[in-house]
Amino acid sequence: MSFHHPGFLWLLLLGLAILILHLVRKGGRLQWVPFLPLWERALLEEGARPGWRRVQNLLSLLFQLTLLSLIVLSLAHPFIIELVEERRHFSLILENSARMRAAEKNAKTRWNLARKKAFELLEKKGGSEEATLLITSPRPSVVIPSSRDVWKLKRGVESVDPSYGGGDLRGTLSLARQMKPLGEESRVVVVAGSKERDFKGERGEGIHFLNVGEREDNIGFTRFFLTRSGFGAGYEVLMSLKNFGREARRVSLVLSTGEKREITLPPLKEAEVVTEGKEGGFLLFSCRILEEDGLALDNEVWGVLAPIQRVSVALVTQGTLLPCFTSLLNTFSEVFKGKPAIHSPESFSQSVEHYDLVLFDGWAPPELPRGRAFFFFQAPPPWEKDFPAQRTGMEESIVTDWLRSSPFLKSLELSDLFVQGVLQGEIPFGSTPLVFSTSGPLLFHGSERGRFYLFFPFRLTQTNLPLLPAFPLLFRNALEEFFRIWVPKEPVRSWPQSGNSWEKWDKKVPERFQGCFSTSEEHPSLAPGLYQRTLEAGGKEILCHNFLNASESDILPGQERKGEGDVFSRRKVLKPRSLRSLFLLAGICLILLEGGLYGWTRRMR
Amino acid sequence: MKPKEGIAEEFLEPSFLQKLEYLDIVAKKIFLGEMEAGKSGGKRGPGTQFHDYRNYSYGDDLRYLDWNIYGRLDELFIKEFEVEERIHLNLILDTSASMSFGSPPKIEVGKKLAAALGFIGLSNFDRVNLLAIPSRDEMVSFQGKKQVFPFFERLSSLRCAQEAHFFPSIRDAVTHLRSKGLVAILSDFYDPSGYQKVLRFLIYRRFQVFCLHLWDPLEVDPPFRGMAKLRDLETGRTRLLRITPSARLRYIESFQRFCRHLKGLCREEGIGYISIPTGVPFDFTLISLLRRGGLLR
Repeated sequence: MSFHHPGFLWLLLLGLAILILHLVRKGGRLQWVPFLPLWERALLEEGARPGWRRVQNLLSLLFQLTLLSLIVLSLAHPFIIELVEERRHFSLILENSARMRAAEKNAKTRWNLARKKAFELLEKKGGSEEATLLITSPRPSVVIPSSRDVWKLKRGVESVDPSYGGGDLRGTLSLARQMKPLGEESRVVVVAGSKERDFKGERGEGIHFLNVGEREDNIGFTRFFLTRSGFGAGYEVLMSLKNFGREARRVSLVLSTGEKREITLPPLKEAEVVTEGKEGGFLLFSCRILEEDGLALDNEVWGVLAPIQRVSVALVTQGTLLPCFTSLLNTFSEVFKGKPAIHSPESFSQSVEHYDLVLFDGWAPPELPRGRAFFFFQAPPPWEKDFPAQRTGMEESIVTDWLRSSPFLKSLELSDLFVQGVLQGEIPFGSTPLVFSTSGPLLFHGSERGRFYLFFPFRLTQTNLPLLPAFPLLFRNALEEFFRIWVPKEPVRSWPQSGNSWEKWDKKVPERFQGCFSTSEEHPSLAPGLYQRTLEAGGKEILCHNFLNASESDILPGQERKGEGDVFSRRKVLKPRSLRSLFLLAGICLILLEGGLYGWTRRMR
Repeated sequence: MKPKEGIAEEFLEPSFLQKLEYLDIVAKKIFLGEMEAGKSGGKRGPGTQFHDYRNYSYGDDLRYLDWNIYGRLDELFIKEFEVEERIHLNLILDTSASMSFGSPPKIEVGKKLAAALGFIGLSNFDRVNLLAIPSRDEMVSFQGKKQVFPFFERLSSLRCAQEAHFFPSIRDAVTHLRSKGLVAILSDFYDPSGYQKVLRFLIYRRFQVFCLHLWDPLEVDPPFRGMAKLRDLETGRTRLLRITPSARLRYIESFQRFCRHLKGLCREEGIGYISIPTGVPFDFTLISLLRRGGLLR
């Protein structure tokens, strides 16, 4: 037995003091008595157990010396060096990305092999060894925190299914390191689903890679973008395919449009396929690789484009801008144009309320009619009776400033612009001026009782050159903003096809989305902020992020298959074992024992 | 009486002495005395205390004829008187070493008590014998008030020294006494060989015996705790004992049993028993105790 603080052992000398005190006390104080036989007669009965009395005294001395020894030894922090089986911890990382759904020869899927391997590993685990079960997909997460219970860990393995997306080995390894108990040797065992891939970045000491699955001839989609082409006239598709194998492959692609393409993929190379179509409205697009490989999951992609939303537009014009408007509106496939209206003012307000957008050119009703949105071009505004507008005449109003951040004025350059014959007046309450000139606001928009309006207080023909060619752009901006605000669109969606039947995809959407879109979540088993992992989402126009992206899903490490026996080899090491608590416990027991004895002897007396 | 200074004050206050002069000693039995004294012995004979009349008989002393009755009744009657006897007060003071115990020491209380009794006796013209046991000194007799101070001197010269063995000393002393009388034993009665033999011997010799049992409160409630080396004051014998609370209780019980036994023996044998703790104030408390015991009236 050794001591961390041997200096405290000097306190054992206090035992000598106790011994001396005991001897002095044993001698007793000299007391004179007048007649000793009286005492002797009394103590003849009391002292009938002198032997027990001596034993009691001796026990008391022994108790005091032992208690002192225990206290001093506890202070000295004793410890012994013993040969013990090293306490170890290992983290079992199961790759459960989509590739684990691949069919294998001797098992239904590659995941079955991985699960079987995990069971074998857990059964080999030492009884005192703790294991943490982690998975890689859709994000690194802990399934079972540190546990010695093999059955619990096995149930944890059984509760996991392969995902429909990629995985994050780097993040999972990082998480495993964070979960490692302090002061314990920890190993990480990764059960991955492929072989002969280099994962140089994550190879390190204490990390063992066990591979399951044989097939490695995988060719799969790695990116898939589906979006509408300009002005919604058609659609565009961008697909990336990658050959994960070591040999060049020639594959055939069958598109839902009936088109068939053949491409050649070099080993470990990626190829892009771009296609387009002119089909409008609802579109279901899919593409399938006609190739049998190890992983059927990434052999098909598909996406959905929502049907085109039609917008009805009425044009109330005196004829000056009709060609311009007609040509502009024709660029919007979703716009249903109404005829130029010639209505009496009384009946007009009732007839235009069925249109989504009404354009007034040079004339406007006395009141803002029912409806959703109104554009006014050089028309006296309906609120003129409240705020009479005056025309400025032919003097030039020069633009002084404009809101460059406004979506209405996107891509417009209005400097050096002047207009003539501007209607001047106070802009109504709640309106936002967009362009300022020397004679007042030139353009403003606002809303009143849920109705959107945009007001152009000048004629396009009475401006200088810069605005005239830019007017279609301004008008398009206004229409797009109107569409953005007033016309909700069905988002375009696309998912990877996993080989399941069509009827099931509705139920699978949330889970499949996990692998495709960005996540920023905390694992419930960890403290807040301990772990945070963000997967990259695409840009705005990318409605579905690529799945099985090589950079994310290729978690497969180098395949130097290490001896599995090394993973669970048990070592015996010399470790100091503190005896302080043992001594303290013995001291407490001794005090309790002495207290019990004292109480018992008192009762006996 | 005015005491000599320096002697009487050792035992008693002068005012207390004056009060003691009015006290008297009661002798419950009739003793035969050598000289007339202040006590009525119950025996008819020459004296001053009238007792009774009786018919004249031949040979009676004519001096005791009551001539007044003869003149009225024409019969001769002789007046009888009680003989006033001198009683012998034998004070036996224990001067064994155990009497030095207590605060104040029991011997001091015993001396004061003996002084008080002796003073009372001498004031009433009794003979007072003082015997210190277990010393081998002979019993010293005192008679008359003039002997008060020699009596006190004798008392003050007594010292505690030896081991108590009552019987040989008392037997030797009492054997030489020619007259019976009152015996007052002032002692703690700690005799290894027992006090019963002595008391029964005195009763046998027809003494009226009074036991004045002196004890100190420390004997009743000893303040000892834990390990103690108890040493006997008389024998010097030592015992190492562990004084536990229960042992202390047993000792107290033993002491009380000792007192009860002494008291019971006195009651059986017709011996007066007075228990005198040393802590009690001496003067009137002592008198009340003596009255209660029947030693004073």
